[in-house]
Amino acid sequence: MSRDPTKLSPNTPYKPSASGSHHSHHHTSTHHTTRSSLTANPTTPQSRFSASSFSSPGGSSLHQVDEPLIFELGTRFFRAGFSNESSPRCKIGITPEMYGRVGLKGRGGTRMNRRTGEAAGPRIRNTGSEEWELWTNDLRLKDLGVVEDLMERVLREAYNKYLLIESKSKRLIIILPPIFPTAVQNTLSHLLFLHFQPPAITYLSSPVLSCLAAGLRSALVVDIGWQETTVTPVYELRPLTSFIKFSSRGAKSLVEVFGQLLWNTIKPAGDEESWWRIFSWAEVEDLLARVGWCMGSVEAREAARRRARVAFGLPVEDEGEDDDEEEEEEEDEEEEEEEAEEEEEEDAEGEKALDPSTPPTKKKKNKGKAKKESKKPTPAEIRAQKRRDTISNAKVEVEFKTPLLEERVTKMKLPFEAMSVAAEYAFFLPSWTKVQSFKSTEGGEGKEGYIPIPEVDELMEGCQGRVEYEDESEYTLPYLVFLALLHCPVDVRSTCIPRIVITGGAAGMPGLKSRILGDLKELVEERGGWELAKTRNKKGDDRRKELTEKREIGEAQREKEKREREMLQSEKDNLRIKYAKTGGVAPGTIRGVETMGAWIGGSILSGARIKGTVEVEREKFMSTHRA
Amino acid sequence: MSSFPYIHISCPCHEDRPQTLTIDSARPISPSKSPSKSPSKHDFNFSPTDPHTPTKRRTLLAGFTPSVSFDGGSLGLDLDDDEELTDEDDENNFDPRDPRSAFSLFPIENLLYCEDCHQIRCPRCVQDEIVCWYCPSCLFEVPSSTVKSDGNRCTRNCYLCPVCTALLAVIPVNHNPSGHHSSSDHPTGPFNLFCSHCHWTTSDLTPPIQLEKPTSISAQLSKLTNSTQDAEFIRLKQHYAQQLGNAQEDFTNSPAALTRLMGLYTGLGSGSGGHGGSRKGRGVKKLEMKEVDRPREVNEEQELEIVERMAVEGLESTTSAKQRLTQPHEPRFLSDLTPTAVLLRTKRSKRCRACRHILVKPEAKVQTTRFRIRLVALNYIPSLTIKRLDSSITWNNLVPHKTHRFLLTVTNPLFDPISVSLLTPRKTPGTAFASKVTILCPEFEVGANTDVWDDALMSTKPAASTPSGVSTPPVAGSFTSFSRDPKMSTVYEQKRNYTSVVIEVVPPEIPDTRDTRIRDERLLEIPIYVRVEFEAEVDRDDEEGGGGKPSHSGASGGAVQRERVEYSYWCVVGVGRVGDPVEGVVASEPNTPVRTPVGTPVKAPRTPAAMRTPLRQVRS
Repeated sequence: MSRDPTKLSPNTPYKPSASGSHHSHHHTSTHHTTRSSLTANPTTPQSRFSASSFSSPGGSSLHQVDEPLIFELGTRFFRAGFSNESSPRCKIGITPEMYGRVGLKGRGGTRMNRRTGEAAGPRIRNTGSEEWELWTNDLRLKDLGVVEDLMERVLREAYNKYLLIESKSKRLIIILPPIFPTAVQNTLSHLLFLHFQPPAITYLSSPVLSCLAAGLRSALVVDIGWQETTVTPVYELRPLTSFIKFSSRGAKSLVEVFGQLLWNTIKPAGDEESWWRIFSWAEVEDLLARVGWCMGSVEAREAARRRARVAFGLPVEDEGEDDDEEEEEEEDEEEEEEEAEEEEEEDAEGEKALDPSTPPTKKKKNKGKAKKESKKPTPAEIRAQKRRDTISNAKVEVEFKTPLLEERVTKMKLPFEAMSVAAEYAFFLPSWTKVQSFKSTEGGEGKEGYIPIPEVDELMEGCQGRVEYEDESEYTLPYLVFLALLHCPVDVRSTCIPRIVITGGAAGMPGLKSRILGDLKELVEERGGWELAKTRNKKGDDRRKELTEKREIGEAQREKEKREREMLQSEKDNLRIKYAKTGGVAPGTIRGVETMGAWIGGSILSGARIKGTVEVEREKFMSTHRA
Repeated sequence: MSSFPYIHISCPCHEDRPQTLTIDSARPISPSKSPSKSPSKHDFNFSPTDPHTPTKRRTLLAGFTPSVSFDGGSLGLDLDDDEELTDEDDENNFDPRDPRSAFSLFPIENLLYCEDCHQIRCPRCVQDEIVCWYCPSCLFEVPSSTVKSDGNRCTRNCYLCPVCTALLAVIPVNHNPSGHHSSSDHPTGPFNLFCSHCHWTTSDLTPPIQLEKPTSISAQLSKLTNSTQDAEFIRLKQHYAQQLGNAQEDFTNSPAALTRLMGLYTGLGSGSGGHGGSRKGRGVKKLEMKEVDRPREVNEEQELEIVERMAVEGLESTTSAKQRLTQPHEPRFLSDLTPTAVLLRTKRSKRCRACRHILVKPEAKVQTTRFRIRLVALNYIPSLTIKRLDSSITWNNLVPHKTHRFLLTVTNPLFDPISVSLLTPRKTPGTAFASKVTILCPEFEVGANTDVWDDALMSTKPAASTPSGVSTPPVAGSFTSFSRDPKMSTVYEQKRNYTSVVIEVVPPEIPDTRDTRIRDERLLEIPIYVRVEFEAEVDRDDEEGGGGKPSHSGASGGAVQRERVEYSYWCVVGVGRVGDPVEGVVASEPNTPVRTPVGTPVKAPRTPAAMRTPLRQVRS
């Protein structure tokens, strides 16, 4: 299913004039019955070069002197601003106060302290994340009227406080997430045309704009949003909507995990209260944004391996380099044992489970060897070690208002390292992992405490840490990215692999981007490529072959093979160098590209006066829609 | 923390909005209610299509017979009553617990009133028009042409502290507060911006910002602060501009558009020019679209450096969510914050969305706080207040099963006497734990808001100057002229322009669900439907010049045309919270006779029978 790239090139997507007008017509009519961002191909810059420059009346961009306003509608934040500017004029976060009445603090009445029963401030609504969101994807139990009312409130604030412009005068460009319920979009259009009366609205899809704001034309856009993470391949500025992948892991789950960790740390045994009744959601989110970080790939793998060793009751080696040799031996022994086990039982799962741990081990071995040879660590290594020390020694003092508890203010002194655990739970650990607390370090010294030691049974059954066994909507992020790439057509994949754009609310967490990319690299290596059908236990097979060959073939043969492999490798390296010289990357190299965000993309796009092929016009909309 | 009692008024736009805006086209669509949108006064009679028809509700509540009618418009209603009674009895009641009603309930101070539509107008049903832009700090008016290019911010010297949002002061760097021994009067630079509240200065930044002059700060700052994001933005913009064929040209200015237009035609004419010319046989000149040269890659080292910095500098050096959101590029560390210019504000005039009449029009001058037109609801609709009749009631701890009596006072701001009917669901809607509510005298008159002097005059010759259009018993006037009309009998107190009635509330036993449920079931809010009727002079001429209050109904002109006006709205009375049950208090009948409060004269004997008498409106 290889596609001719020229067919996707900017010149042919639409037939001129006729189809262009047809398209717009079609769009305005079906717009409200489908998940438009999925079906409608949102307008892309190429339109200027194709349909609109010809006879299509839609190409009247020359006469449109006024620059549009750009709204980006997120679940948690609303951004608005003018085109051609480098940042939005306002970012409005949704808070429960926005759901409340004017002139009434909280929701009427007071909260009460859980011990004393005294009043503890105005009552807020006690529903987890619900009132920190503008809309939800699950509309089954959501009153759309409330969404409309709230949107109206937010929009009015944006217009009256920040944009300071009369809403009737400006066209709008609204950037929507890749998956946006048509119902909400319909509500939004109606609300805007009724209350704010812009002449026309253009809806754009955020992955395309994120791609644009990265300076790319094709990319795999990983949007770690509030409710969910979406992975959208964009090819020549077109979102390939049928290849979108989702995961329910998002910024919301990150905050939830962090809150749960905090509450677990201080809660008395047996208290089953939800954390958001104790802490303010805003405070937890704020703290996470300030001190949350994400572990690097190598460290995380090492920690996972250590947990697995503890689970199996194997000795855990210390971090010191001295033990390297012993550890190697142990490792070898262990693997030998496992081989035996495997042969007996014909059950590959056990080793599979340990599989993730092997690559870093090898690396470490290599590192150890290298160190022994040179005896002199490179400056970069010294630097890295120093950094590791600073991070492991740092402490964070946090303070929370807890009006419902005995102490009205709870203070905690937490290790800085612990601040990376939330991301582990939210994005990288299997979803069934039970959230521990920051206090429980009993499981081992230091790190092990924050993440539970897996059960041996789980490991033996092969589901712990194996992303394939995850619920489909809860794949870990690296695996989700991997899947998205895997399912793409090969040409798209080859273009997208070196152009992975990670964006969205949680992407700002330091270390997260490189962690996802690092894990992805390991995942690909481990799987041995991009074959759709997985070669079963490839590594095991290789190793088995090697072991059998060890007995049969002589040393010379092995040497030869090794040399061949090295030569192949060096050839590849040469190619890489060549690519690097021209400023490009070799196909197949996993590379992340920074983006400035979808809003900026919209700003650039509209700044270039590229008008969408599809515009929802006020008169048309209001005439076809019931007022 | 007792915010009780409070009274919120629901804007009628709550009813106008279609309830089933939801996608599902299969769902039935509620009949559109166009009449209420037209500004004609006659539409404010109750029409049978109105789901909030009070007549029907009146039949439900307080045991009235449906024979009571206010005017001809609602006479035909009785036909529908039976169906509606059974069908959607509960649905039509205003439910203060509905999440949507939070968006339509306002304190009366926040509401406007449209004289033409005779409707309350909330901030949602008005259209704003900007009169002028100004800086709230220096009160300098900004011309509309430069507002946008300035970024809606003050371009003079008004800057806010990015840490605590206090106003920054410009002070010299080597400033010693004690020494006035500096040789010259005006201090010499360099200067920095200093926050007198949290002592943050621009010298704290990395690199520190120091200004040469104490004036025109904006210009100096814009030179000194160059963020990497802005640079990247410009790079991208240039890249795309180049790709679009007008290299070196900023595509914002209009000549570029012209060039592009020209290029379009030349491209059409000569397909040969350019490198992408021979593509697919199309004659248009095409540029090979390229991606930007060397896009910024994700750099693990950079990310780790941020982590290390966070570890070293700790929580205090990072920005809070509030601080971050006010900055254009959401900096992570405090040292990356830059002073923010003061956001401009606007003076806005407001128009009624339905009839386009101006409701609020401020003076264009920034310094004045006066308004040319200001039709606030407080001047038009009777304001309700609620008081305890029995001081032993604690708002936060109402006793279940006990009959609580409150005094509901309706104050008339108009110069015409009004007749008010208050209707409330017998049981508070929207909850499984409904409290019983009874308004003892739901229909009464409230006197005109006449001058105090008029009062004095009228006391000498009673009832002479009362507008004779309403053939109701003489109201207001003097304190002594209370009639023995049974209608008035249950009114608790009646003074010049206000009337008080008793409202009885019997809350049930309610479990405390604050911690387990979304809603606080113990919160007791009573929805009351207020219907106001009065005769007003028709003076269409001076609508604009009306200013604050409606014109006084001078009785001098004998042939003044008078028109019957009525309007209605829901309001919600936050009575309090129900407390824990008290022993000894058991369920009782709510309609027990009112015990006479000590020291208050009571005008008429109160019996349950009297209260249940259908109140008939005397008509001419």
